[in-house]
Amino acid sequence: MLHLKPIFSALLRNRIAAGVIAVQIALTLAIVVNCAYLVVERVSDMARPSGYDEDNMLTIRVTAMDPTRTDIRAETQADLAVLRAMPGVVGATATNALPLGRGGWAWSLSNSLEKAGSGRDEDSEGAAIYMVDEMGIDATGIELSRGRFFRAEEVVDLTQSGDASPSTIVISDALATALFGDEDPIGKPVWLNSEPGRAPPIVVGTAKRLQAPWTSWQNTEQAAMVPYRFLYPHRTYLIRTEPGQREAVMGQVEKVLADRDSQRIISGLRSYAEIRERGYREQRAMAWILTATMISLSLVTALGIVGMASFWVTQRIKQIGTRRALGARRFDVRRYFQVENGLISVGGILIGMALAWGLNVWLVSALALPKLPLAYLPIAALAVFVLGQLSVLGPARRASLVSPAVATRTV
Amino acid sequence: MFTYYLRLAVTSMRRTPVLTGLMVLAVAMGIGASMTALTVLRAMAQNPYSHKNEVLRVPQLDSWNPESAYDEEGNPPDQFTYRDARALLDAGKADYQSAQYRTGLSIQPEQDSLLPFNASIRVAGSDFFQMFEPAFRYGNPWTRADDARKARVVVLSAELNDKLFGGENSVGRDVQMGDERYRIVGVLEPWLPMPRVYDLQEPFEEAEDAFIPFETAVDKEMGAHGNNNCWRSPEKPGYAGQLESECIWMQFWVGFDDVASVAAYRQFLDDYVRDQKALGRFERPLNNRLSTIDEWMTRKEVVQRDSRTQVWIAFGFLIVCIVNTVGLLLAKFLGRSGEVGVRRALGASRRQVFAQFLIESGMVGVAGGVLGLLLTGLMLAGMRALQDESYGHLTRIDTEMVGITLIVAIGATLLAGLIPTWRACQIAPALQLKSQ
Repeated sequence: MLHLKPIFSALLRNRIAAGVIAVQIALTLAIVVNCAYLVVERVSDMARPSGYDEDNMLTIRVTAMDPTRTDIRAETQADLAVLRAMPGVVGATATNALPLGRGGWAWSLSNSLEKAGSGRDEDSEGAAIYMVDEMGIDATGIELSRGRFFRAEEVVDLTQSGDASPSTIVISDALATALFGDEDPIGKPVWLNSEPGRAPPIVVGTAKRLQAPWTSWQNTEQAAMVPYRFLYPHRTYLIRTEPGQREAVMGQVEKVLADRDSQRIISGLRSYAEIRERGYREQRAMAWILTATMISLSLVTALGIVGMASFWVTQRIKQIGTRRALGARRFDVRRYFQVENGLISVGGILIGMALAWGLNVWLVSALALPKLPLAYLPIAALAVFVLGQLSVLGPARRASLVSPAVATRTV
Repeated sequence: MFTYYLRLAVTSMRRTPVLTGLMVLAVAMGIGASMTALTVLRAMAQNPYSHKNEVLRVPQLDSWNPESAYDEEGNPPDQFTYRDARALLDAGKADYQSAQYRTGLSIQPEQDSLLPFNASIRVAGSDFFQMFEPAFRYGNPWTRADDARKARVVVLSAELNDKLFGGENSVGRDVQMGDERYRIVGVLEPWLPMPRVYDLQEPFEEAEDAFIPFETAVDKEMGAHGNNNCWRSPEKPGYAGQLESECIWMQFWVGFDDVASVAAYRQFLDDYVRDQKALGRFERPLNNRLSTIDEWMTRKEVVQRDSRTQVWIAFGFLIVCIVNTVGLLLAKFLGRSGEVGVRRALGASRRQVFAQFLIESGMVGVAGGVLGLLLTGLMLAGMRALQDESYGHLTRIDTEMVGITLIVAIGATLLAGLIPTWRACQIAPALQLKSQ
């Protein structure tokens, strides 16, 4: 009942114009599909939790001005004592690095001494390393899936010239799976590749989630905590507050630390939200840029369809009038333009899907971008089809308002 | 005739302001997107030392794990161990050589109005200044003699000198950094090599606040605030252990007065590694490199993948905008069949009709280009807002980009105008006149 045949033959008389619109739709589809996929990939990366109780956390950095003449151990312990005594604070610890924090330390770990000694990369798993004391679990809010957290007696000092080894380790579930598969990791030793001679720490617990500082690292879920009192001249304090207390603590913490000792540099006060914002800055920028491109592209194509359809309506005013005079209803005229656009869209979409696939194959090989899941194609095709139908709505309505009397006039 | 056609084009554009507006806007958006992406890409990919590309070189020695290559492509490590940097410095076979790393020191200003603060420090040899040629506002670099005697000397950036001394000539004065006083020997002009070629670990960071001699920093046991990568843990603890270790944590650059010396240096590097092999180090196959700056920038992947993707997608967008303009121009020109018929009947040749319509297409291009330039400015501002501050240096548009933008815009619309113009020329005058 769509009367495709006459519409189709009319289109053939306007081959070039119809072809131009179809090509435009095809290109739009191809580009939008690939952009959409890249955006979704980044947005889902950004939605991953770090494992820390980010909503209630803040960090601050302390740098000793004269490290050689400072008792860093005493200073750190005194700082942590005043921080832990602050109202609203649940826990505080000194650490070397932060999930999403961009800079950090990594170790290569193996599940056997033999593999640790082989020196081959494929025998080991990279893991981000966070040094925390026994308060580490309170200060970060990580959720243990198995085992326990560190005991106070397990925590050893780590100074810049120190050489202490940790006896225990808490690893993320992802790292546990990478190292031990389905086996229960609790009680198992993990060896450090770079120094297989050293006594291996024993896994005492696993964390449900613990991300690395590097958001675009492929193994970003592989991380571990080791029981070190982090006693470097330059260190970060992690502070976790009771819900709703973060702002209050943030307002006080610089003063509290300065009051205890003003002869050092206190800097980098940040809520964890800021750290997350910085950690994903590139991904967010890319997602915004691609989204803006998709919107502009759809807009340009919609406007192109409006322009071309309006031209056709103007060109065919006499024909429309004649059809109306011969008994066609307004609805029929409207439908004519909608169907016409539909036909062009379908043509464009068919070319566009092939083009989208080709573009992705090329992007994969030239820029090592991820492969496009096929499911994106029909969704984008539908979206482009709807876009076309909506764009032609206005011109089609204008066409339907042409009076049958036009047929009796000469232009 | 040209000005007459220009006037005709303006008249025609005024007659259909909506359609013309749509075309100009589409061209402008396509131009804006592609020029924004291109500006960033060009800024990332440029080599600020292209004039010294051949004579400034980065050596790489494969001191890595005998069992596993440094990376999947089998490249040698991209930084140096202290041992190898020491050996190459002591050999002094290049005309200029500098081992470098980034560190930080707390600065305690003498004024009570300023609180102590952390400053980023580039640790380098005196040759660094000969190789990378930062301009000096006051004073000079320190000397090789200062290197040798581990002098406590410092070169300040313009910004740090402004902060500490209000921009005055501070040469000869002292500044307290960490636990010692350093004599100021020079102050730089504002310096912004982009990308920061001398340390591509962080290519878009700004230059450091101050520079001190490498020998001094090692003497003071300053660690690196950058990447420190060990395939084997240091055998001894502390700084001494770090110096003796196989950990890579510093950059090494060599410079030559004459490119002819490069081959001899290559030979020297190979001989050095062979000697070390005899001592039980460098168990990997001989895999030395002596890269030019361009090669080094490629190897360090200075241009990020996202930026390349953006350029391709933006140019795809531009193509859609051009196709869009083809469609709209076609509609517009064919809508004026009557006019063409009359002109042709009055004696205008096809060629004249062609010129008339092509000039009208070009006008759309000029308008789209100018608007596109404005959009580019806006989009670059948007990019700045989305990225780190240091990224801002990549989003400056220069006169060359303005020229490229206008040429691309006009070229693209002329191209877009070809099919519609050709169609307009096909119009048979008689037919059009009859239907009037």
